[in-house]
Amino acid sequence: MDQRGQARLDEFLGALLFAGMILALYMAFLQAPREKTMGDLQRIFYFHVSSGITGLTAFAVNFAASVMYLVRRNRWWDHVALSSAELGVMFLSIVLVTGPIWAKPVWFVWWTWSPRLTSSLVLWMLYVAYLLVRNYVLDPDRRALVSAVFGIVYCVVFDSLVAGHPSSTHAGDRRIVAVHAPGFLYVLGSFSDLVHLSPAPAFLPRSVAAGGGVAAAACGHGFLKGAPGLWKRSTP
Amino acid sequence: MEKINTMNYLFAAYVAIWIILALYLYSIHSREQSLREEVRRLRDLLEKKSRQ
Repeated sequence: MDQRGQARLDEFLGALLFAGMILALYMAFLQAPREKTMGDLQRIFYFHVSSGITGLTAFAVNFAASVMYLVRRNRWWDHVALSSAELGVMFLSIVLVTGPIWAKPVWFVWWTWSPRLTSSLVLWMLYVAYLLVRNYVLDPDRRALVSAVFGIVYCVVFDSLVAGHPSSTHAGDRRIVAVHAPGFLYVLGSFSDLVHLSPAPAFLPRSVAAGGGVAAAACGHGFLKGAPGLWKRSTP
Repeated sequence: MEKINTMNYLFAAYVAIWIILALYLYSIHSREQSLREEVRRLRDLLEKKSRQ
């Protein structure tokens, strides 16, 4: 794609972002009904859960791209791994900030050191370290190699840490996954233009946000249709 | 639940989401700008060299 085409695509994604976020806010605040037990506070989930799904998917992409780099030794895969790690850290940051804000009035504590929450925090720290470590390796090939190894190890760590500790309110509960299934649109939006990543990474975050906006709206609608009685268990 | 003003928490959560997103977009934008600047400088350098 030439520069003109990229600029047009960038503008289009920018417009999609704006429309998506407006639609998301409309759906989350006006379209979705007030939840019976938690009231308006539950509206945090429309972004919290979608961000969680996107962040963890980003780490999965990081793993796949790291493996591909080791196999092919093509720098493009290193770019994909780096981008997905950045996105994962950003979305997991949203999860880690909005989670405690929701927990305080519901659980009456900001944070519980449950295995799931703690391991999510550790995972976030690991990927922040991944991004920092890259700055200390100057040779690009060596940096890509070290990052690929870290990416693969981290994904294994994630699998044993986070996924190995299901809890009553987080993933592993199929009903929650089903209700938030539209959140996968978020994921699609986030990664839809990875193919353009090498020449122009700048519009990637815009498409992420656009996808996120639409997905958050869809999540609101999903919750509207399928959530009654879902949040009876509100313990960590 | 009813005694707690949950709207404050809801507002805080959405503000936090927008701040995190804005910071990320800003960081991407500034990195892109510096990259463009570097490319421009390299082009200028190449043009100078070719003239010589």
